[in-house]
Amino acid sequence: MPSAPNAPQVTKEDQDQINAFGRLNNHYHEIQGKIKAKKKYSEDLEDASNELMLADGDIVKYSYGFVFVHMSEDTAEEKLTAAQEEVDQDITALEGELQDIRKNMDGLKTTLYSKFGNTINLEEE
Amino acid sequence: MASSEAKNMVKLPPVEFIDDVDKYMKDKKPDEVLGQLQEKFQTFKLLESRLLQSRARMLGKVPHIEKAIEMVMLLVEKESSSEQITVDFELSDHVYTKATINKGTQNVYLWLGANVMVEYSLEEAKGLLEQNKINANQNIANHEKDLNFVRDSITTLEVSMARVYNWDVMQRASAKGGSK
Repeated sequence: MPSAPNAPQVTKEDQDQINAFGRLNNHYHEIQGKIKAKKKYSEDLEDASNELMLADGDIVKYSYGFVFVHMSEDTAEEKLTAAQEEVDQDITALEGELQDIRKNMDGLKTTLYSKFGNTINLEEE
Repeated sequence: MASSEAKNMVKLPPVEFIDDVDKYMKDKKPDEVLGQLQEKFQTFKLLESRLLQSRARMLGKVPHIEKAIEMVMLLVEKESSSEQITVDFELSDHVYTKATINKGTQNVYLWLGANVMVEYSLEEAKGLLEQNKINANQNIANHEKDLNFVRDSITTLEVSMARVYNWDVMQRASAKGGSK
């Protein structure tokens, strides 16, 4: 760790900002993880819808809770669409949140870099 | 499924911020101070991983509760339609059998844990499960608060360690410069 001879003193305020940045960064990664999981689910639902189109109009078995429920193709289609809409909304909301966090992080970065220059590192390793 | 886990696991005092390293280090040995900081750092790190674990456990519970709610909702829906539902349910791992649920099924049994199942009406079951879900999410939120506190402490300690270390290096450098 090279010592910077004239590194600026760290004030309580700076520390609070660094802490805030740390929190945001953690939160950012958590949300990214959630989005990834939801996107996977959304794709699965889409696959299911596509498969359903190829089905021959028989009763389908819809995984519901811990059981498979027998239902008509139309009902299954409806349920899939509803689920799809819900998860897509969730994704949009999460992505909005992600953007807000990014913005806050960028703001803090500017402040902290302008004070500490290259004696602080806020980038991902 | 009733969860009443400890509300606040963190009982450690908040980490104090070092205002002025010069003043703080007066009459102190850098090695000792660094050792103390390191020790605190370890304590908080341990706490962090414990919190993360128990949060992951609770996060894993929520989908289960949601599944149960879904199922009860299906039963409620069925009550207002005239159809009976046919389901395949799991008898044992990979063994499924067919069952039909008639209209007029008003009760479900909820597994409460400790080998106890209790019969509830559909509405009651729905209410209870939803309350469980709220509790679980509340618990997770509490954990998040604790985690934030612990992470702030960790960051503060990291910064403190770096500052004390740098202070020491500069002290030595100026001592060397002075003796030459």
